[in-house]
Amino acid sequence: MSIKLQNVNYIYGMGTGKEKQALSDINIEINNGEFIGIAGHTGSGKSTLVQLLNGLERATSGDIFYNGQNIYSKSYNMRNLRSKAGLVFQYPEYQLFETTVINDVQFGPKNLGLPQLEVELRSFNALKMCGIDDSLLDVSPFALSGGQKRRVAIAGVLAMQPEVLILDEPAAGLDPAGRDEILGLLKKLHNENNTTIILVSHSMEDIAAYVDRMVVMNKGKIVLDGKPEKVFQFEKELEQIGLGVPQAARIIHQLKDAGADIKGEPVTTDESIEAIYKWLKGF
Amino acid sequence: MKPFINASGLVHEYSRRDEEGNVTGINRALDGVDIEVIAGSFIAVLGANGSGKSTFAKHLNALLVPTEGTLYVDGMDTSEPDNSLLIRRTAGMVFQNPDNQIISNVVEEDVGFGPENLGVPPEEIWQRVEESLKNVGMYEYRKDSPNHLSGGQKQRVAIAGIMAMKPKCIILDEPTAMLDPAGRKAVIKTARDLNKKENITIILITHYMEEVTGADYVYVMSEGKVKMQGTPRQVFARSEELVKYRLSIPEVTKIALGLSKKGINIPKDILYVEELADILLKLKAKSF
Amino acid sequence: MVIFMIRDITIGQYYASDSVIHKLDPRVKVVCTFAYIISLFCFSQLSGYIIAVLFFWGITKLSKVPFKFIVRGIKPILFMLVFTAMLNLFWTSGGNVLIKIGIITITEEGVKRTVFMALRLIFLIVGSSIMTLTTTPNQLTDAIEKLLKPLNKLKVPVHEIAMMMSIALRFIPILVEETDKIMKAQLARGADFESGNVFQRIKSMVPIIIPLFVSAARRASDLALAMDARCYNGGEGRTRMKPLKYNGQDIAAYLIMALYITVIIITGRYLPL
Repeated sequence: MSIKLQNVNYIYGMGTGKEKQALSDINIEINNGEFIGIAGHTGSGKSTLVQLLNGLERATSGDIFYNGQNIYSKSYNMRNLRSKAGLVFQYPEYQLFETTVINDVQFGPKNLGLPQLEVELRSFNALKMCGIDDSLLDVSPFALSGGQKRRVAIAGVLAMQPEVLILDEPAAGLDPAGRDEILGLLKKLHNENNTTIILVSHSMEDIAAYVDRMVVMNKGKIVLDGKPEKVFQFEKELEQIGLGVPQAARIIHQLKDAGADIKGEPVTTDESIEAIYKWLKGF
Repeated sequence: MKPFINASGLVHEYSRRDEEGNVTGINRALDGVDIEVIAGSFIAVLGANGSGKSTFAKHLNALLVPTEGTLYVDGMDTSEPDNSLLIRRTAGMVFQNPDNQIISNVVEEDVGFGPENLGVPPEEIWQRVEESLKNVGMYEYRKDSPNHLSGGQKQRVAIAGIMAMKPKCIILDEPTAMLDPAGRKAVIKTARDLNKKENITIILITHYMEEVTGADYVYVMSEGKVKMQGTPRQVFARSEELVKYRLSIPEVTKIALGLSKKGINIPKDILYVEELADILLKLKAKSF
Repeated sequence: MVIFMIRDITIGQYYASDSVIHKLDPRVKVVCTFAYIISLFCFSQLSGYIIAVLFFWGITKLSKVPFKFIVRGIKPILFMLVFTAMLNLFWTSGGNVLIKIGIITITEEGVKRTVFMALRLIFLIVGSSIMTLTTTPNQLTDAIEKLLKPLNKLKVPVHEIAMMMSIALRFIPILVEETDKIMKAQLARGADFESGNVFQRIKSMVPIIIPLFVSAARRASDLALAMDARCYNGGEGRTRMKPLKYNGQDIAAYLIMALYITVIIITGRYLPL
């Protein structure tokens, strides 16, 4: 599923006298099957952007196309869009409400009006995908640990089988192992189901390790867009907007600045180890 | 020297109850914790979610009392109910969620809340509020509503609220878990400054590895026990163990470790990018 | 949509400024707001409304709060306003009949009552928003606590009540934002809040209300801990950062209010229109 944004603007609080331009002139095309990271500090417009992507907010001006169809045209089915572009909010565990885990996960697919069998099938699969044990299906979601709650909530969106999965800081507040579990799950979804993934994060390390393409936002604009290894070359610029680059890239930049002849543009720890090793050994 | 904080054999048990209120099981959140903290130091307690680190923090503030074992804060036994107010003003606590610990709708009134409770006279409250807000760099926001501040700014206000009680120690219980990188940096820097300039003992509870590199001493908790302790270098050199406790190490330490595994002669306990760059450049120069 | 309107509630939102009204002792503001609300029921003719509006307009000017902020308070009660207006319009008899369609009769008296009732409601709301916009919740609590202090003798926990009010006010905007977030999260899961009959719509609110309660409970327990950690121990032995003290302008404000009330009562009694 491809998404195209054309000259999109979004202004907060229209008509209240306190208007604020949250997004200005956004042009971007997200291709089918991409794993894309959106980075930016709080208030850079990234959260607004993802809400536009699944129709929860409407652009003040500009157009958004899904598979070539304009979502703002009168004939477009907005609710259908929401099922195709699944959005996982920050701290999604705060939306759990049902008496059991399985009932909560079924909420989404039920709303799509699917037959009960299909609803159940999808819910089981989604929970399995998220690593929730069968023994927890009839447990109250409120009795789970923080990390489990988070995964149940994500399963609730996955069960709708979206073609695009958008996640706003899915690993916020989790410990390193919990973070790896969630991000590993996204990788799996991307590899196995070819789901397009849009990951909003302010962790440069996570972005470097997982995405194919990253978009950097600042003050409502897209300022950088490309492969992580290209984007992280702009260390100074990224630091100026409060983001920085992963340590793995920083060490390479420092060595290069000191005259080291290191090949390539590594951004993850493994890549950096390899590049530094080769450089030390004089390959 | 007598330690400022001394936990020995500290145990905390929660009882799980069913809907009728009958006890169905017992959770040991803390299981024989021994921790000593010297006055004026910067201590980090690392642990994954559910490791018991937050329960330990609540004990330090006498918000919970030991099931077994003892905990002394500045010579005061926390299990003694009469001590609790004095312990709380001696070792103040900053919590994770910035919104849920700010009581007032105006920054300065919130900072004044603690001293008000302590019965400090008004003129002195004003003086303390001004001083504390300046200490955390939030003085210019004193008339603002906390709702208009960023997460990092709110946490600094919360720290000021504790500072206004003139504590000897501040316990920060995952103060950065809900913040973005810029806010995280500002909060950690504030804690460091207070430790250096005001000689406040800091106990930082966290699972972010980058935040503990500057600590004097690190305790690693898992399953209610202290599993590792030492200086940050000593602890980070044992990365396999950390991973077992659902933690990790900073990327730069990972790189140093990876290189050393490949046979490069390099220390495993590197904490800073500059440090690693330096060592690598020297190594390269030597090989020629 | 009721839920959408929650966002517009002005109560509990302080507007920072350094106006005369802001500087008044909060007790003055509480007492005068109360008096003003009562005054709205002391008359029923046009001249009274003109005086009440003029008085209100004057206070607003003095408070330096932009007019927009004040009117925003009306939005959430718009539904109630229209509803009571309808009731008055259709159910009041007497006076000349203006329109008669089937069983619906609209009379001159009905129109008059409707307009006046609506005006009263509006001024009741905006009158209290002026107080909350110019007084911080802490000040407000202090004022209520001080004013109600005599009730302490009757074993009424005045301090605790005041504290609860102040905290409620601080958390209203936070919970409103949270409601908005939860609603969006459920919309993203295909929830539908807009179609179906009344019962279906109420049922569709469950996925919002439960998370909201859970979150409020969590916040409450966090806050209780945070208050304990800051040595909160009830009202006893507490000092105040901003102790309440009447001074010249507060006395003047009381006098002005007394004057206004006198004028309103005289108007209500003796002016024909």
